[in-house]
Amino acid sequence: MGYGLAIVLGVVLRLWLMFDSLWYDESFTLRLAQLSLPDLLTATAYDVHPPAWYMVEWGVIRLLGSSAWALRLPALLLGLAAIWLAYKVFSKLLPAPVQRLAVALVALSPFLVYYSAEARMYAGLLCLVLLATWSAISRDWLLFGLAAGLGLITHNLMVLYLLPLVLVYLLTSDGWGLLKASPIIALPFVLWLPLALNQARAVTNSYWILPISPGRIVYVVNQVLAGSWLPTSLILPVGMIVLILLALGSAAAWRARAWPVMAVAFGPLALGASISLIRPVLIDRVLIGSSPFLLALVAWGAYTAYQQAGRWSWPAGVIALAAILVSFLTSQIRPDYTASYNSLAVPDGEHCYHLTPGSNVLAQVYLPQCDHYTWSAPRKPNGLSPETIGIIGLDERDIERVPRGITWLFHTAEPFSNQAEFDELNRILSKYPASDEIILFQNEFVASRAWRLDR
Amino acid sequence: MTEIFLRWQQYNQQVDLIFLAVCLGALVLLSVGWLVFKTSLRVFGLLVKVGVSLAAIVLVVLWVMDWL
Repeated sequence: MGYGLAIVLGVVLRLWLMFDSLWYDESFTLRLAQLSLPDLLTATAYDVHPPAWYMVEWGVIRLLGSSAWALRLPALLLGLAAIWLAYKVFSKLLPAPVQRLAVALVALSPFLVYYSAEARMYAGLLCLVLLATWSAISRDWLLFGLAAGLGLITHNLMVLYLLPLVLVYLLTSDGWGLLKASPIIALPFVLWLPLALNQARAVTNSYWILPISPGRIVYVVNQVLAGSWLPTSLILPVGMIVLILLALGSAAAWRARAWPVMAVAFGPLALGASISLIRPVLIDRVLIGSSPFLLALVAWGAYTAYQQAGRWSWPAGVIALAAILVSFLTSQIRPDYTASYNSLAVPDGEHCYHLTPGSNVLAQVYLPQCDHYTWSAPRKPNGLSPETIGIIGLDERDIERVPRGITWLFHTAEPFSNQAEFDELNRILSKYPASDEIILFQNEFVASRAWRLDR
Repeated sequence: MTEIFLRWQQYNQQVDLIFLAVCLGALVLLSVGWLVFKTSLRVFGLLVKVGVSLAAIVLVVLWVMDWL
């Protein structure tokens, strides 16, 4: 009963997030999906992710249109498939009393709910890691090869999962099958490899990812298990409960020699943390493929605690889960950009001028009635490459070369904003009569603002 | 260096410290639990009951405070 309820609630939560406004990363997905296929491939070659996900979205918007829910539909379907795959995998790898709780946690995890309603490739990565694990334990080398190979052209950081998945295959099946699967794994990646190398050359990636430290590793694991929306006062107690359960579950899994679960839960984390010593890559969403297994260990820990403390362990578990879910439900997860941009009431034919390419890509979703321009120089060392900007058709020019008339000026101040952007903003505001600043979105670290200029 | 960057950097340093503390706290609790568990199951059971009840009360109080 409780198990079924958890799955139904998980589905409802995923549907509930489907209709939020698109945010920047998703608006970039939309922009790429609107290109022709050759342009899409070229644009991704100069960006940071492989093309598979954008090609799926390319098909989706041609079939269903370019609304937020249509763009998020593939992620929703894959996120739901992940619950089913988790059930199949856990029924083979976990002790019977832990299986249902683990599946319920996968259904209700705020982290997994969020990425099941996000028009990005993370639900794809999640589903393919689970599918590869399932096929490894079912000794299906063909499916294993396909899942791992597709994973590599879905997200470059699937490489973190390859070694743990190979370990799972060797632990549960045989080396011969793995040998047969290797060309299938390698084929899509070899085709994509020249472009992947181009990505590494053309883009200064992950400039915003912080260097690794012990505290950061724990923080990332906590985000994966409890989501990113806990109120400050709840982080310590919930973090403590969740980590203790993870430790208890890991100890139980170690004793039970559940090596496949341990490999996929901790392998990518260990590899990601090691790579981050040289170049930071470790953020929560990179661990999305590991998250069902980490949650399974938490479920195992909860079961161990229940065995020791009986019914007294329930209040802590129920309260921790309720705290996580209510925090998630009451958070403004994505800014309401539709309302913000609509509040500007921009009529047809006015101009929009953006100091960053990202602001231009996002605003084109909400203000299609205006013509958009981006400040041309100096180039930021981070963000979109000049080639991608060219292919997705962002018109770069100085504001003096924008046609005369009412012009809306947009700027997003964030931690990595270039000082030159602020200088240009001040130059423009002192040159033209401007309205007061209009806040589109603001939190502690980001301020998206607009001004109406009379030119 | 913008003001936002400095605030963001400081916030992240605090996050690192807090989560290191969470991890150490969890380790201490686990070690104490394990030691006690190894010596006396009855005392361990009692400790878990008291600990869980306290945690539940603290959670509710903190949660309510966060809403206020």
